[in-house]
Amino acid sequence: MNKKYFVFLLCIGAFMGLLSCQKEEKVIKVGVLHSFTGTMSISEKAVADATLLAIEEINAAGGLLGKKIVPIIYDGKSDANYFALQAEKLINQEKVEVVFGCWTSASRKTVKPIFEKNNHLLFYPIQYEGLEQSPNIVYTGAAPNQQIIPATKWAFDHLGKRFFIVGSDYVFPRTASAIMQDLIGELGGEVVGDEYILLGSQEVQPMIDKIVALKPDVILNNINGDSNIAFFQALRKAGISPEVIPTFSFSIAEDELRSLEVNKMIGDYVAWNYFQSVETLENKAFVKNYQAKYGKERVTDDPIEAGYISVYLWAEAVKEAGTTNINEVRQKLPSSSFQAPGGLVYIDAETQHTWKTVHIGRIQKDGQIQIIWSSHKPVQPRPFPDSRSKQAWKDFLETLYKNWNQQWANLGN
Amino acid sequence: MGKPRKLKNKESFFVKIRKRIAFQLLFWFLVIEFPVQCVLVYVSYWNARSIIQEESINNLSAISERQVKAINIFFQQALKDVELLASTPDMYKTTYDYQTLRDTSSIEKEAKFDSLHRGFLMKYQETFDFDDLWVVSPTGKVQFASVEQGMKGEMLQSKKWQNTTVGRVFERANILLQADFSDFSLNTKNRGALYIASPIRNAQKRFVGVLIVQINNQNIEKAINDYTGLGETGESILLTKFKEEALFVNNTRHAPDAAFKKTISLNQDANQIIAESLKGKNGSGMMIDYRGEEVLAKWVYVPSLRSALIVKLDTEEAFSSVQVLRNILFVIVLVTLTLVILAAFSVAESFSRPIRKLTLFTRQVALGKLDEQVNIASTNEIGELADSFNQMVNNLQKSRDELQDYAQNLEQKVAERTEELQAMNEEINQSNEELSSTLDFVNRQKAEIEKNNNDMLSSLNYAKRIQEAYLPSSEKIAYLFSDYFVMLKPRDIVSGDFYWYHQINPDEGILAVGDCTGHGVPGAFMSILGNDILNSIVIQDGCIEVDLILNNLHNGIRKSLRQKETGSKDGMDITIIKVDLKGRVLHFAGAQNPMVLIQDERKYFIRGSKMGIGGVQREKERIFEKHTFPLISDTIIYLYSDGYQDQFGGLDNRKFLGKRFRELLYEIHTKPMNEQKDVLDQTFKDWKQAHKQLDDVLVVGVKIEI
Repeated sequence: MNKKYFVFLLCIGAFMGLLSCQKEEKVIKVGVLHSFTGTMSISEKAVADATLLAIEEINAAGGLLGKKIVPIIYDGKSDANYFALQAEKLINQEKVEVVFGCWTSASRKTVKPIFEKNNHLLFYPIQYEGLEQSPNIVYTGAAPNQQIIPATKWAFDHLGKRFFIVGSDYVFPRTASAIMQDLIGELGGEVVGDEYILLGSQEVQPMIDKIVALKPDVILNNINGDSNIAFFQALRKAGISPEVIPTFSFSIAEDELRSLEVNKMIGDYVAWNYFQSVETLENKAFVKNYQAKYGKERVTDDPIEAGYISVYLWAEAVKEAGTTNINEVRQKLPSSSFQAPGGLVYIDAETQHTWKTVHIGRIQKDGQIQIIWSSHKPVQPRPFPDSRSKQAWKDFLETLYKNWNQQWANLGN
Repeated sequence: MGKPRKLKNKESFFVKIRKRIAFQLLFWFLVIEFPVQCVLVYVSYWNARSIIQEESINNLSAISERQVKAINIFFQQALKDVELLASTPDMYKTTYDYQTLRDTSSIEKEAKFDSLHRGFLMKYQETFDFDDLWVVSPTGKVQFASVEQGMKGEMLQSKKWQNTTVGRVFERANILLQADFSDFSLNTKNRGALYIASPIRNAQKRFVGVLIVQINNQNIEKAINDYTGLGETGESILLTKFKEEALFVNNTRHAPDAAFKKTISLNQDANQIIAESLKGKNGSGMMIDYRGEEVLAKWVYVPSLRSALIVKLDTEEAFSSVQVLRNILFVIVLVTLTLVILAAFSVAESFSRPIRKLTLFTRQVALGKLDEQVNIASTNEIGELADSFNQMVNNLQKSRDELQDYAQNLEQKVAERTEELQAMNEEINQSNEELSSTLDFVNRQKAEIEKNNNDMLSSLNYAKRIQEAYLPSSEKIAYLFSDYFVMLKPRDIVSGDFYWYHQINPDEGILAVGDCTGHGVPGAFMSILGNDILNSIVIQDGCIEVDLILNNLHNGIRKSLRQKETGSKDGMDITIIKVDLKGRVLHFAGAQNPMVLIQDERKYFIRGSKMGIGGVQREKERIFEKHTFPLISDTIIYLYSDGYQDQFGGLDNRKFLGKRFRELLYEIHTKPMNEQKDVLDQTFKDWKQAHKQLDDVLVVGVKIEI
């Protein structure tokens, strides 16, 4: 081959290489890590949809820093350990700039060390039990003082003093239950019983039997996933309607209600930071866009909105920082705010949790929630309830972890 | 009067030159340099302005961060203070005591509790510097109020209070079970107020009531109104949303009485930045403030207070250093412009002065004053020009001197020449006279010659007539030949060529065509001699054989001219034919010359013997060949001298040549004889053109009809 021709080819190759490099730099890869299969898919798919909607909206408005955001979607398969595996892949193989994902606290707690080890960033969009604060996780769901505590206090003030707590047997329901029990104790109320089933289990009858037997004033429901279907079927079958014993659910929102028999749940209570019925211009646009993309039958709810605002809060911080560099983005997060569908939200500088407005609502026959109490303004997040010291909470969690054979959920082994 | 005006004109001319140069320099400066300078000044100014703007914004951002931090620290501390106070044994004891009143409802007991608790509650209030302090039961009943005693007994969960700032802050503390701020609002006395409500717990952490305190406004101001780094015009404003307007929370430098009184409408376009900042948007830039002043500002949302902090500085102050820079740049431009104008005039002067000097000098030179030099002390082009001028003047002077010398010499020479010419003139006059007499003589001679010539010409013309009389008449020839032509063109007046004819009997005749040596008179003599000898041979001696006739002719010429003795070479070339119509035969003999015969379209060219008539004879006896032709059909015969074919002419001045002549004869032989003669005549003229005829021409054509 002619030497000149060879050099020419080399130049062309280098030029094409440069072009391809530039092309690669023109996108920002973000990870979306949720359960698209398994028991949690009932809830998590919709959150992933909201995350993707926000990405699409930002791209349609010109992208971020002049680049297109490309979502890399991984399935956690409702398995905490699999979540960890996928998180590792997203960070180290896909080289994403940020990850939006997880629902169960078990999955979050399993991936937390991975994000911390890699100094990466996870936006976690679900209300949770608190007792956690990590520089590598931005909590856009409610902390206990933004859902569990006010809901329990309100129930105490308005529904009765005798409580029965049910939940899935993993870290969130167990911790939520502990917080509730502490609070009810402080208020002078009584927890007449608490029962747990394995995550995804349909074995609800023992807890129904106990409820029937103990006749509490209020049921505080921390069951997650499609176990709720079995729970409410069995509860109604046992003759317990909302009028007889109201249930206050902490993991059921508008989306989950689609899978339940709503007409048998009218009058039950939920506590969230967002309802589809929130009357703001931003919410009307959000609901319209969400339904336009995913179907008229779809509904929005708190975790869906949190999944949506997570992307926007991150994007605001990236814009402020002028880079996707995690350390710089993290520094800008507290000064970023977003006029979310549910009202103005912003990240708390100290805890990296989100200031959110607390709403308590009642389920209506159309599956929507009527707000019956509101904090009227965002409430500062407090991930550690002051009913116990931080060390006491740490010990509590360690005990759970130890009892579950170094897992964050009772896997039934 | 004329001279000063001329000088004045010159002066104005040079002023014009100077002005023109100056204005041209100025013009080009303005065209090339001035826009560049303006752009540079503009760019420098805006660059400096943007840098200062950026620095100012950075400074304002840093101040806003510092102030937000100070505000947060202040309010978080206040929050903790209230939480701490709410968790003291005194507080829950007080609350507990007041709650027992629900059961007893005794005025005395209440008065007793008041006297018992007011002291330390007031002490707490003063210690923490609160404006007011209320103890509220879990049901919302105000049980104690340190300042606003009218609040005592008010039910905060009642319709009257539930949607007020106080009602909501109680409700939040009650439900959230954590200390929280109210929004900024106006209290019952229409004064600005911010409340903190905290749940009161007992030793067992049991919730027993809510402590509500009102934060001292002066303390809020202290946290905000720190003007460090804000120069003379900078200030910070904390704004909160109040009834669709932005309400000032603090007094500011330019509005010292604004706190909780002054508002900014959020519906006006000009205040959109404030509206956006109250919705949580942070930003920075230039804006028009509440005074209508242009300011550089940083606006940040303070989530804990749901307020917007605007830290701003008047642009006039922010850009004061840029204004100074702008003024300096403006002065620089003005100074540069002035200098350039001065420089332009100075340069124009430095150009025009030597030009003026040079112009005056050239005028002196034009007037012929070549003994002066122009003195321009310059090394530039003008100096070089002056040097060249001086050199030129030197050369001119040198040339003029040389010319003067030359002129003097010339005058002397002219005088000498004139003398010589006068002498020569005299000689010429003398010669002229001599020449004049000679000319008379010559003229006389000429007249004589002309007379002789005329005589000679008339003699010759007479001779010609004689010669023509010798030539056979046309009737004679026409007797034997049905048609014929004779083309005789003598070179001179008389011809050396001749033709001769003799009718032997009605059926026989002899025709001869001769070409004597020479032409003119000698030729004519020879032709007459030839004619006579032929007459003698044929008519007298009765010799009618053509070969013999030539033989006898030869001998006769030699004899007549005594050529044997004299060695004379004169003689002739001749062709001769004898036509016998009866015997239908033709005889031909030729001396040097040929014959052309055409019969039945067959063309014959018969050469004569290669011997002439007369001249030197080396052979013993000259015998000519005789050719005989039967006359079986009409026959055309041409006899001719060599004059036609030897004539020079044509395009290349060449001979006509025999071949061309014969082809011409072949071409025209069918025409009537007179036409043939015309063609031959015209062809000869066309060939000869202006050339001289070299020889006598004779062509004779006869047609014999059988």
